[in-house]
Amino acid sequence: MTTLLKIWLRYLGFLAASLASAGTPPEEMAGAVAPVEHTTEQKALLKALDDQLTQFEALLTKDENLSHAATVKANLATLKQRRDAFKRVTFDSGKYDELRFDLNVAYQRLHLWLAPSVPSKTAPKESAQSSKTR
Amino acid sequence: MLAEAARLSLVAKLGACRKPRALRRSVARSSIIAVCGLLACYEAAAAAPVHFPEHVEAFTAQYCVDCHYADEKEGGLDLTSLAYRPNDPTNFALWAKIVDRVQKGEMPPRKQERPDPSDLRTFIESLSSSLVKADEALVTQNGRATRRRLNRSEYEDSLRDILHAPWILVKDQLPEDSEAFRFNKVAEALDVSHVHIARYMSAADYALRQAMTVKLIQPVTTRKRYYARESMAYSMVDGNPDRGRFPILGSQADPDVLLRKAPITVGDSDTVKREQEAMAWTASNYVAGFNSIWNSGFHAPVAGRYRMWFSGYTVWVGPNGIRTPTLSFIGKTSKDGGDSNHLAVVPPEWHRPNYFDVSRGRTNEAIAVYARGGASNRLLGGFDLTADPSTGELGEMWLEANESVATDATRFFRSRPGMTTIDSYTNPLARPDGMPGVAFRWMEVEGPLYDEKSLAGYELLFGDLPMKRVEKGDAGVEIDAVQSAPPSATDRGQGGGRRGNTTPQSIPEDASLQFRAAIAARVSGPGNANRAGAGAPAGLRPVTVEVESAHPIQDAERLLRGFLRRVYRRPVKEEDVALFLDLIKSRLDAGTGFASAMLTGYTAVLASPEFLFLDEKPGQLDGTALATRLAVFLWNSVPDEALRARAESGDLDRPDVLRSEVDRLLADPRSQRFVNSFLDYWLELRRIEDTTPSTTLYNDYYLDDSLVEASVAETRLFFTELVMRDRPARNVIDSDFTYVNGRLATHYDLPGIEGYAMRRVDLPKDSVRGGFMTQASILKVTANGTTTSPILRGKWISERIMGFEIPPPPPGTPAVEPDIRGAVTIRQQLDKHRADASCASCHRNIDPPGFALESFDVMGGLREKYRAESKLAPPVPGVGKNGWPFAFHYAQPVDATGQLADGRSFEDIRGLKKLLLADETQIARNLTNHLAVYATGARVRFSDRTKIDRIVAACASNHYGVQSLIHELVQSDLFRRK
Repeated sequence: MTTLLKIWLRYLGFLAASLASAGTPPEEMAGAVAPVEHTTEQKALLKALDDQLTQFEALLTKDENLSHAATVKANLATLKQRRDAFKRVTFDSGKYDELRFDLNVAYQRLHLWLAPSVPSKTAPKESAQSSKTR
Repeated sequence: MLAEAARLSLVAKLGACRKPRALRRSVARSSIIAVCGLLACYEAAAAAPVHFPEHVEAFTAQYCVDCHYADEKEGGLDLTSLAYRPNDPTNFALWAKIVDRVQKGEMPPRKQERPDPSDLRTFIESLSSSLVKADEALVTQNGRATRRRLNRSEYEDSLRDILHAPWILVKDQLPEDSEAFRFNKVAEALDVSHVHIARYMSAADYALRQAMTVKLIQPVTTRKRYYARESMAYSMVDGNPDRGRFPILGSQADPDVLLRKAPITVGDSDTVKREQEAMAWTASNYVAGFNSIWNSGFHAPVAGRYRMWFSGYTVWVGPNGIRTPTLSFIGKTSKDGGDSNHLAVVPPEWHRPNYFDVSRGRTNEAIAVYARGGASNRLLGGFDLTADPSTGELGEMWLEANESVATDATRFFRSRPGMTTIDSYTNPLARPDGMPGVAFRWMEVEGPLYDEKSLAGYELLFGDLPMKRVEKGDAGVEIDAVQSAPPSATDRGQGGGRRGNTTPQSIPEDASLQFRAAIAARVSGPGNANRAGAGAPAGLRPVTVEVESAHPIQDAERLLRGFLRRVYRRPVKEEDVALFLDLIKSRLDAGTGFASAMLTGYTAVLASPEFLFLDEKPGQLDGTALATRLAVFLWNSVPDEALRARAESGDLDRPDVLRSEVDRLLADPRSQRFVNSFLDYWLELRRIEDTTPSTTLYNDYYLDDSLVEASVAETRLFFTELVMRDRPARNVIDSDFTYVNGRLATHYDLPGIEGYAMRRVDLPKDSVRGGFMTQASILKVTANGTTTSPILRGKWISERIMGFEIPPPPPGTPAVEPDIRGAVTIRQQLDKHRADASCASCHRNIDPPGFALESFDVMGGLREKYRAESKLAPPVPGVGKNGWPFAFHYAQPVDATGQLADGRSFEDIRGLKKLLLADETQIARNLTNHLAVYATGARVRFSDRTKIDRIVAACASNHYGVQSLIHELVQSDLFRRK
């Protein structure tokens, strides 16, 4: 009997809370969660993360291949989402390092993509033969 | 058997095996009493003060005791109470240090009254000559060198020469030797314990069995072709095309085989097409050549000499390869999701190779070839591939039984799983339009190659007695031989990958060709019948053999005599034969069989003091001892027949004969052992692999084996030239030439040099390279992989190159650790440290050469700024050799200026070299000092200095040619007396 009563009371409490929050915009809901406090050092690290994302974005403007740029842009958006999600939770240095590593992988790949191509060391065999003929 | 041989060897060492126990006890007791008595006498003699040499007391009273007296005791030295006892080693060393510091002008300190030059000269001459006299008296009595054992490298080389088996590797079975006076050739470093004796015996036993194997298996010499398609599996490790080997046809893709619609090779059915078939790849793995071992085809059937050729070419592999995300790694699932039963179609990635898009190569690629037995590689050589198919010849090399080979494209990246997913590596050579690849058609092996000495090892052990296989359990000896075994499940056509064969449950309908090929590369089937098709892999398996003897006792004596004659470096005595023959007979009586009994005897010989120890008597060395010293010096081994003959004839004493023998030994390829062994210790080349470049600061160097290999080769070739061409010793500091290959030339920023082969190059006039100090190998062994320290490098250069000993830091001195975050430079840290006057007195001498070398990073790359690691700073662009993105940034600029202790300043390494070259004699003296320790197995004593100076002076006319220094050293009393 007591157990049944407890379940009912818990259900009523949940119902009351649901009714109270009904109609509240999602942003305010998020705001209702206590904001994550970061130390000065963590703030500096988060700023460095933002800076590298900005740097990445700037580098991306140099990519004239629209198809490739679009792919990278999508990747960048994912990384930004991860950054945003990361900022909302308690700072986890392991996760931070993973995010920075993934960001760095994407950033350096873009650098590589923009690097000058490798010219042919030797002319194709056919042209070598034809030049001999001439 | 080993235990018995050990017992006998130790008994033989005591030289008391025939005495009754009571007599042995009595002898031991009286020996102890005698030794104690002698020690007491020695102590008393050493303790007895001697009169001070003339002028010494007066000089110290006038110039020294103001600081070095009972109360002040500057530097812990009280000269008012210091007696003069040159027979006491500690007291001797103290007075030697005093004379050195005064001679160098370090004492009295500059701020104090300077001694009158004539007083100074008189003091130095008087004290020095007294010390020399005392030292020489000791040397006359005992000799310079102490009895010592062969070190492990000498032991290995000696066994190789005695058994004519250059492939024998036993060094690593023996405990590592210590180091004294910088070398592993000095008695103080070569301790002996029962562990050593046991290991020497097991090493000898192993080597003897190796010599028997050569007799058992004598395959006919053939030249056989092994096609790449049949020797390597078509595979894709971790589902990633970067880590794959894939079939191509000429310089084009081979789609049918990629999709397994056709067998991996047409075989003999189409000989023209077969020549076009090749296996290609674009990257390496953690171990060089991991992806490219020819182990399904070739395994050396027996240890011996072989010759090899490789046919291959370079290709260009298009972009947009795809991977199959099927593996989780270190507990983290790939972001693309999936496991081995769930295969998702992954979008193509531009930096991954597309096996369906292959074209003619755009680059030349250097290929390193490694022998591969167990888990590690042994470098055999290399060659270059171009876009046109060519055949690279490796020349003659030796292989151990069952070894295979791996071919590694040295420039290709070495894929390492990253921090977040297994496939987060990136090919740094990739460009939007593709990446370089190499393709191999076949390898040819000729061998085993025989000559008149191929069976010399067996013949030394068993003469012309035949050997036969016997059943396991019968009397005989077990030896390892290469044999085939029935195929096991793991042998059959595994497609590669650490999880072996993972057959997918479903392939998506819309899967691309690449995706299907990726699956095909992961499964076994008719198209991947590599290993199964080639038969079961061979392996080393024990075989029991027996040597047949109709007259075992007579044969044993005859063979033992011959063996002793070859092994002992002196004429054999009857008691030597009797001692070991008794052991062999006892084994025969025990029914072990003839071969086993003989091996017991031989093992005992090879662990006996007569072989294991270098024994010399005080005074002039006799011919035998001189020959041994010479062979150990220049060949790291025992004398050969010719040298022994010279020794036994008494000719070796003649200077002209000794000179011609030095020339002969140096001209022999075995002198390379001297070069390698000397450099391993003098310049610590043996430590080249001790440190690994940091994966965060230096991942462009991390796993770059080809750079490390080339840097070691440079130092060895450079020193070889100094010796063989008698180049002036000044080249130690600076030279106008060096040796590089393509990789090292890129590292040194020397344009126009490509390819695998090392070659001599003239350096540009303003080059920072030249000499040992700026060689990559030296700069690597003097750094820790992450940072450089002017203190450590400065000490190293001072002691090994300049020849100035640096005392150890006072106890409790904290280390100065470089700041890898880059906020302050090491120089700024040291400036603080040097502000303390007591620290400055030493660092004034230590740091300057180290500062000049700050221009070079941990692998010897020239730098203007330090690399630093900080999450707050953006990384510089680039991807490392391991495929990881660069994570470092450039921080503080390097300041390579400095001032030597004598006040002379330099701007950089070029300036430092100029200052050091001002004293060529010191460079030659230092090199001679090191050669003397190496050659004689004894430190350079105080009384040896004048002898060293005489050697150096004798070579002044040809600018201290290095070979001339060696000749003069060998002719000197230092070498010719104990």
